[in-house]
This record gives sequence, structure tokens and C-alpha cells, in this order.
Amino acid sequence: MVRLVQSLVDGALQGSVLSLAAVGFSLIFGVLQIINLSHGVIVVLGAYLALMLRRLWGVDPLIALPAVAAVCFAFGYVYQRYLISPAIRRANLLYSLLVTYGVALVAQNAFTLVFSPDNQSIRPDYANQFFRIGGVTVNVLQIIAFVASVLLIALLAFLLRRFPLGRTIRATAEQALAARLCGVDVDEVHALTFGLSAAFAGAAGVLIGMLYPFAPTAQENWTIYGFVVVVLGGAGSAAGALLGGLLLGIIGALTSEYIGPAYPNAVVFLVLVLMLLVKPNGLLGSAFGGSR
Amino acid sequence: MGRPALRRAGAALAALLVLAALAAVPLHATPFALRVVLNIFFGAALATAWSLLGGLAGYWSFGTSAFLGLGAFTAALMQEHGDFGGPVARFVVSVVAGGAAAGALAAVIGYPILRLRGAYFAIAMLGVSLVLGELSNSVDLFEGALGITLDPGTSIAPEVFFYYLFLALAALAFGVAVWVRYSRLGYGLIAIREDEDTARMLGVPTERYKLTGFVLSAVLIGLTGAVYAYSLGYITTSSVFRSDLSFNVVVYSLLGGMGTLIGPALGAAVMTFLTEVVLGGMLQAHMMLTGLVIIALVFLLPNGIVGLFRRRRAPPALAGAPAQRSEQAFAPAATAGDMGEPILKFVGLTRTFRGLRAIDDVDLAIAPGSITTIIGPNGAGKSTLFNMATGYLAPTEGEVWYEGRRIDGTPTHRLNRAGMARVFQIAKPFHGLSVYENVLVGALFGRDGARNPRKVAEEALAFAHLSPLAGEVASSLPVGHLRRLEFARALATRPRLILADEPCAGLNPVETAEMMAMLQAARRRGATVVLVEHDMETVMKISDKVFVIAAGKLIAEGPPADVVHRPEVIEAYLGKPLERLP
Repeated sequence: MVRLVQSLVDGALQGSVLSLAAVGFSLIFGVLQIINLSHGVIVVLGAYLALMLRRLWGVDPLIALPAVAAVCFAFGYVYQRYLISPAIRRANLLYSLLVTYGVALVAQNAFTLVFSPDNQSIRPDYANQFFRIGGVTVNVLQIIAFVASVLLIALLAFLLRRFPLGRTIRATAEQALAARLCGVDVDEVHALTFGLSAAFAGAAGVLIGMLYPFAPTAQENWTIYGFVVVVLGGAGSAAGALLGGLLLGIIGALTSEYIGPAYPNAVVFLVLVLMLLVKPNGLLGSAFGGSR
Repeated sequence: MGRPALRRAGAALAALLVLAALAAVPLHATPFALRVVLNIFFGAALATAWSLLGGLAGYWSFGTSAFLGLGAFTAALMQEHGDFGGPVARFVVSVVAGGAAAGALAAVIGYPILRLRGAYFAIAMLGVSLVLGELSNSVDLFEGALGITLDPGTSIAPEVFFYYLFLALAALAFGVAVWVRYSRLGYGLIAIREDEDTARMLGVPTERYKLTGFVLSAVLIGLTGAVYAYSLGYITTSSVFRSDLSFNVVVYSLLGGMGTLIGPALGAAVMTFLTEVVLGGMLQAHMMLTGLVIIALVFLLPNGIVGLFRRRRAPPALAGAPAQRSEQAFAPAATAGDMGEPILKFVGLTRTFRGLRAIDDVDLAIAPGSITTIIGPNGAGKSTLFNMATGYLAPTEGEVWYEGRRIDGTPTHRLNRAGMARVFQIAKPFHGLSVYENVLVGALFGRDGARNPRKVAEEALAFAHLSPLAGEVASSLPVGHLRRLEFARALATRPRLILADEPCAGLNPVETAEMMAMLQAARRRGATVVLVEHDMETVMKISDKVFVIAAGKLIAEGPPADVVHRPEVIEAYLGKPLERLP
């Protein structure tokens, strides 16, 4: 029983960070209909930015997190506005696949050149404190990451639902042309959406860097987890991403505990395929009618 | 010899010459050059195979490595554990088994997975490749973590041996692609890419064709994977289940020219040449430059390499007349039998959407050779009725009969085979195809295909006064012409029953008159026409009989002049009369 609870708790704690890492992928897919193959790059970028801040000025990663998110926001904005959007205009939407794939290749190898291909870590000192509640062991850092992730996702949900920008984003996702006719600068909204998504990915990257070792090649996995979370939770919604991420974490933890440590990914990907076949719009359905 | 035949002979000759030139390369090339060309063949074989489904049908897979890896591991395990024949026999058998295993996987997962469209299909295939990769790594049987050694057991120098093998694979993939492109299968797949629902209505067996394309593609990729495993000499999970390969084939196809025959191979050649010859050297910088090249090419070649050479004109008239089938040339077959037997009949038809009864116990019979109109206010259920007649929707209760056979539950493409055609309210042309090709698809598939599809297509075009525009791309046509195109395409299926859903909506009076004249002409040739129409003037002029539907119920039927004066009809359209004011 304790073993089960422990697995569930571990899974949920890991899953919350996965949610945060994937929510941006889901947002871009839902709003821009772009499959961002460079999403994982931004997650890893967040971790490396925190690493640099720590090396240069000894900044604690948690304190660096807002700054990293801001830098990633700027990167995402510029990236969409001046690279992806022109490419789509020149060719068509599908070519965004090529551009983002190209960027992922460039970035992964740039990381390798600058930071070496080896695993890095920004694990802070306080990460090694544990406490036990009724036989279940929990790590302090994981709790921090969980709280931070859930808060940030709630913030995004609030922003999308209540703020003018959020409403504009949702309207643009439903019907870009109609939004344009209402005077919305769709290109600007798309760039801001991309920036938001990158900010969340970067923030997730900082938390991930604190929790686990990371290397340039990890970017591919983070993009793939984005796929899984979209499929589990549904495209474009913050709640869907949270649900998808938590499920992903819990499935992984349970598999690891009860089937074997080599199998989490196999099971997770199997669930991905089965989910697609059974309920292709995710458990919560697609947040936007426009995204198929 | 006609011009198309001449062109075909020329193309075949050119292909042979290229093949001969490539076969002579090992005699002169340096080992490095040989290696580069071999890699080009490898990429070309994979990308061309991928294009069978991805390029023609528009079903992009991100899971090429699933079939590649499965082919590789099947061959490796067979070579390691099989004790039959000599090493050469084992090599051949294991490679064939690699292709067969990939094909079998595609056949098993194809049906469910091909129901997914767009990005979801791509992601699902990525998922399949990841599952297989993980399994090969963690399940002991596959020995993917430790690796398996392979040896083709030949005395020929390996680089030359594999050069010829990959050349053969690339040529095989290309040959299959050419054959598919100009067959009914190819046109069917293209129709699916352009508009899958319309394709079904025109009689394309979409499920079967997608599955066929998928399996063909998988077999070719599996064979290539098996040979690739031998060429590596030692494989592990990470050397064959490579996601980067899955994405590379998409890159090749896009760069070369999506949906073209030579595009994927060209893309593979250019990318491989650039990365291995021009940028070769330092690993990290090399990969970075590869990424930059991909990005740059998107901006420099937005239509792919093939797009550079293709002038902005309509696609050329189609070479190679596809398989010839039964059925006479255009002329909707006259309905046999006495006039008493209805051609289409609804019996107690009901359809509910959750609580809403969109169609409520409707009985309706259409006399053969007539023009019948169904009218009713918006939301009355007219389109729902059509959707049930054409197999897009299953009735909740009741029956649909067509030519004396019960047809509810019959797939749409079968109905078309039985001589039923539908013209959509919103014109759904295959945008990327020429006007002629649009109609040709109808001729190729309608009622199992015409004996002389090109002649049928030409006649249908002439009938709809579209012959001068035959070479134009459909997307360039204005609305009125699109509707005529839609009609011509439906006629090319040589229907006995035409269901036309507001064929005049959005047309100006002149165009409306033309459309009506065409409908009447089609009836004169023996077809039965059922219309949904709003414009009362039109309805009065053209219809033999009118059915009025309101709120899902049939409220009146009879000759048009009679029906329009009935109070319940006026009420349904205009509302109840106002109480007289005091």
C-alpha cells in the first residue's frame, strides 16, 4: 500500500514538472497549429541559462527562474515573429516543421559545443532534504517544483480565461481570419503566444535542471513528452496539460515500480498511441474548435 | 505512337541510362565518393517509399524508423538464429523477412491508425516507432541493448556490394512510386490528399487505398532497413530506431518537392551531398550547419527543388491511361424497369442527435427519371436526409432503399459504385488538381471506373462547358465554374441518381439558369435528379414533384404548383399569420 502511494506521489510530483514543460507545446499546437519540434530546445535552454547565471554570479536557480522565463519569452517572440512566421508566409504551415527541426539541430549542437555533451546539474544544496509523512518519503525540492509548476499553470489558465490578451489568443485560435477582421493583429498575437509558451518551457527547464541532470540530447525527449501531454490532455488548454503531465508522471512511476525500471517510456508511448486511437482529442477534448 | 506513349518511352529510356550510369560509378569513384552516393541511395529509397503515402495521400508519418528498425532487427535476428541454407541464402531470406515484417506491422496497425488525420497520424506513428525502439532495447529477445552482429557472407568488397544493393532498393522504390502514381491507386491517393470526404463520394475506396499505400511504403522501408542493418555490420537499438531518420525523410521530401515523383530522391541527394561533402568534418559544427541549411532552403526553395523547374502552368495532360475498366463511355445509364418502382425510397426514416429529432419518421419515394425537389426552411433536416442517403450518416431508425436494395449502412464509395452521385452545397474540388484531373478522378472511380476514363472525362467537361478550362488548376476557378466542375465530376461517375444539395446557392441568375439547363440535360440522358433548393422560382420551373420538410417531418408532397399554395407549407416558411389588429 505504501509502495503504491509512494509511486503515486512520486509520479504526481514528477508529472507536475512535465506539465509545465509541455504546456507551451500544447499552446502553440492549439493556437498556431504548429508542431514545434524545437520545443525541447527551449526547455533545455532554460536549464542552461540557469546554469550560466549560477556559474557567473552564483544566483540560486529559483531566483533566476523569472529572469530565465523573461529571456525565453523574448526568444520565443523573436523566433516566431522573424523566423517561423516569415517561413510559413513564404511556403506553408507545414514548413514550420522544417524550420523548427532545423533550429533544434542547430541548438542541440550549439549547446554541445558551448557546454560539452556531458550531463550538467544545477541541483541546489537544499535539494537533499527529505521528510516523511505516514511512510511516504518526499523531497523538499520536488515539493517546491510541484508548487511552482501548479501555480504557473494556474496563472496561465487565468491569463487565457480572464485577461484581454488571453481572450484574444483564444479568439485567434478559433478563427484567425475573423479575429483579423475584428482588428486583431494576428501576427502579434501569434508571436506573444509563442513567447508565452517559451517562457513556460524555460521556467520548466530551470526546475528540471534542479531536479535531474541534463544534457543537450535531452531536448528530443522534452519535445516528445510535449506530444504525449497534448495527446493525453488535449491541445491548447492549461488544465489539459496539467492533467496530461500528471498522468504521464504517474504512468511512468507505476510502470517503473511494478513492471520494471526499463519500461516507463515503452508504456508511456504505448499509452500515447492507444489514446490517439481511442480519443484523439485528448481527455479534456481540444480546447479550440479550430485545431483538428 | 501517340504523344503520351512517346513520352513514356522517352522517360523509360532516360531512366535506363541514368541507372546504367549509376551502376558504372563504382568502377571509377573513390571510396569516399562511393560512400556518399550510397548514402544518397539510402535516403532516396526511404524518402521515396515514405512519399507513397506521405506525398501522394498527404498522410505524413513521423515513424519511418518503426519500419526501418523492425526490418533491421528482423533481418538481424533471423541471420543470427536461423540455421538454414548457406550464408547467402540466409542473407536473402532475412532481408525479405525484414520487408515482410514491416509490411505485416503496417497491415495490423494500419486500419486503426489511418483513421487519424493530419498531425495526429504523424504523432501516432512517432509513438509507434518509440514503442518499438523502447521494446527492442528492453526486451531480451531483441538484444537491442547489447547489439547484434551481421554478415552478408559475400566475398564482394562491402562498399561495392552495398552500393549496388542500395541502388537496387532506390530503383525499386522509384519504380513502385512511378507505377503507383499513374495507376488508379495513385489517383485515388491524390484524391484522398486533396479532399478525403469527396474522394469517398466519388467512389474511391479510401480505407483500402490508404492501407495499400501504407503497407507498400512499409515493405520498402523494411527492406531498406534490413539491408541497412547488414551494411552497418552491427546494430543496436539506437543505430536503427533513429528518430532523426524519421524526420530526415520528411525533410528530403519537402525540400525536393512534396508529392512529386523525383522530389524525395532529389531532396535526399542535395541534403546528403551538402552535409557529407560540403559541410563534412567536425561533427557538432556539421550538424549545426545541417540545421542552418534546412532553414535556409525553406526560404530559398519554398516549393522544393522540383518547384524551381516547374513553370507556373497547369499540370500537363496526364500520361499513361490508367487501367481500363468495364462500363461504356459517358451517358448516365437509363434506369431499367418500370416507372412505378421508386429509385430511392425512405421508409420511416428517423435520425436523432442526442435529444433533437433532426429527421422524424419520414417516408418518401423518388420516381426514376424525375426531377424531384426537397424544400424546407433552414434547419428542417434536408442535408441530414442527403447525408443518410449517401452513407455519411447512419439512420437512428428506418430504412433507405435504392433500386430495390436496402442501403443504409453501406459505405459511401459502394453507393457511388451503384450509380449514386452527390453534388455538395459548398463546392469541394480537389484544389491542387487541374480541372481535367478533377473530372478524371470521377471517371476513374465512379461505378468502378470507366472503360475509357479519359474520353468520359472529356465528355463530362464538354457537357458542363468547361473544356476550354481543362488545364487550369481548380483552385483558380471562380465559384460559378467550381459548381459546374463539381457537376461535371459527378457526371463523370456516370450516375443513375444525382443528389444535388443547393447547386445554385451563390450563383447569379445566368449561372443558375445554366445549372438548371444542365440538370435537365442530365435527366434527358436518363439520370434521376433529387434537388435541395431554396429559390422557389427555380423549384417551380424545374421540378416534377416537390417534398416539403419542416422540423424533421414531411409536411407536404405533390406537384410544385399545388404544394406552394397549401397553408401548412406557407406557415412553415413564413410563420403563422398574425392575429388581426384591433
